[in-house]
Amino acid sequence: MMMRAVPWLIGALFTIALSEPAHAQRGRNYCSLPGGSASLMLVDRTSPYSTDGEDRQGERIAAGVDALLDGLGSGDRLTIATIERHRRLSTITFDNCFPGCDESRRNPIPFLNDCPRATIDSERQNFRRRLYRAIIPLLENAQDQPNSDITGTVFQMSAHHRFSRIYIFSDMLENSQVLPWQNFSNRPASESLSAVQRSGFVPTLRGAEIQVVGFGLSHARSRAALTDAQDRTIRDFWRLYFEAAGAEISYRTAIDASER
Amino acid sequence: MLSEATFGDVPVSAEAEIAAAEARHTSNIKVINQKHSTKIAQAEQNYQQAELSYNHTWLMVREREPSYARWWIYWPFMIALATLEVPVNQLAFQLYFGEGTFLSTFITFGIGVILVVFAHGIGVTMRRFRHNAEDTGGAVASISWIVFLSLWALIISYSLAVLRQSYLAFERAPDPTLTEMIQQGRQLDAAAAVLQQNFLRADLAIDGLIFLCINIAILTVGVLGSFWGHDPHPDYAAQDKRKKRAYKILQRRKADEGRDLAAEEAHFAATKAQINQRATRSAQVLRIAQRPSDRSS
Repeated sequence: MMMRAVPWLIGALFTIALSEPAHAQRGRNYCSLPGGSASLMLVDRTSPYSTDGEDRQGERIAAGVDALLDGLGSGDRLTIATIERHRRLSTITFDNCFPGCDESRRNPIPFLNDCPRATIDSERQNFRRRLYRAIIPLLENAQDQPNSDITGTVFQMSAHHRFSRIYIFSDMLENSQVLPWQNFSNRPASESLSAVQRSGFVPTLRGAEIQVVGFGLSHARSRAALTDAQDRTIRDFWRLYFEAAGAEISYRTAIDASER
Repeated sequence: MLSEATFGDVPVSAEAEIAAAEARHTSNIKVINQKHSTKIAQAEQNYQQAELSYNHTWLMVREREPSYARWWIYWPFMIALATLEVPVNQLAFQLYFGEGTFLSTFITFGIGVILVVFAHGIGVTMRRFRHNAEDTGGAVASISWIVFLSLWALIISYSLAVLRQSYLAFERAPDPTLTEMIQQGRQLDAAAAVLQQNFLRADLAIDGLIFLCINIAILTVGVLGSFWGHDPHPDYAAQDKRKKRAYKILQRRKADEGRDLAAEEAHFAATKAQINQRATRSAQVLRIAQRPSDRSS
């Protein structure tokens, strides 16, 4: 009688073997975990990283990704987007939350653990894989574009989610419909800000921290090197722009993703 | 000699009362005998039939006593083995179903049950091989069944070892950062491919082999338990159990009759004692009533 169960048992084995393994379970929502922060990484694709083939900005972006990965905690959102010649062309290439467990809701009963460590390890590996897949094309040198819509992209992305940190890998040289390069680099910063405000492109970034990597690194042949006055004007503009948004900007050679 | 007593105006003879009680007692005994005799006869018949078939097998197996484990020892032992598979095989499923989850516990226990059932099947077939081989084609059928079950048990154990090894490979895999990969001079495409490597490998390393050995050891204990827990003759254990059960029922029926008879005897003795006591009391009352006339005379 017991042996009559053998075909059923073998059938059960096949069912188990064909069931979807945990490490393949995609789409589990880790964004709902409590306490998760949100970071945005913007990669400027409108200016080449260098003229002599040294892909230094690519290395900075890679180091930035590594630092971001190190600093991510359970449920933290990471969004990566490009800055293009027009905000409508800027795209989000990665938008995921870091896998983890809600420790406050952990089941105390053994064998009823709904957040196993191995699954989280596997999910984090998947997260890293997807992140690398999204970022690797952005490490390669960019083509020189006639325009660069930084303000439009920041505005557009800030509407997507409330970010507490924004990492901008860019030379920060705006050349858009709202702020053409000539106006942007020569007019007083307050006038440029007024133009942006009139267009309604000042985002709401209350309490956010903005880190810029790559300011003044542009080696585009179409643009002359920045004069001291231009350098000051541009820095002033971005300070005023982010202050108006409620955020604070800093310029760095590498991002600091450590927890505050 | 009992004296005649009076109850009110109606005199009652104690001898007559006792005689009536005796008649009732005899009738009751007869009823009890009739009530139990059918059941006892049926139980005796069952026992004789059970003993007959037992003795037939006993002669066939050359007067050997049956050898098998009681179910309340054998099945808890096998369930314990299946339970033992849970913590062992959960290690294999860590990467697939996570550890400590209800699902992984359920699945690993299910696989434990499957392996134990296979061990049971292998052990029983091995134990009864000689008996089954007496039939035409019985030896081939038994060997085929043992090979089939062993093969499946090995496939399951091997697959579990592969899964366990894949988890360890995943845990121990080098985890270079993007910067390290770029500094190592890898092509970016190759760097992405590093992360897509498959940890599932069919060839077992030492971790996988140890895991396989643990599962095979549990399986072997199950097979041995099954082998020694069953009698080589497929019907002998059942016949022995039936004979013992029939004997128990027969003893119970006889005990039931004995209890009813004893109760009736006790009831009769009590009735008789009550009649005697009443008669003695009546005689005393009569004597006391006659005493004043003695004094006056």
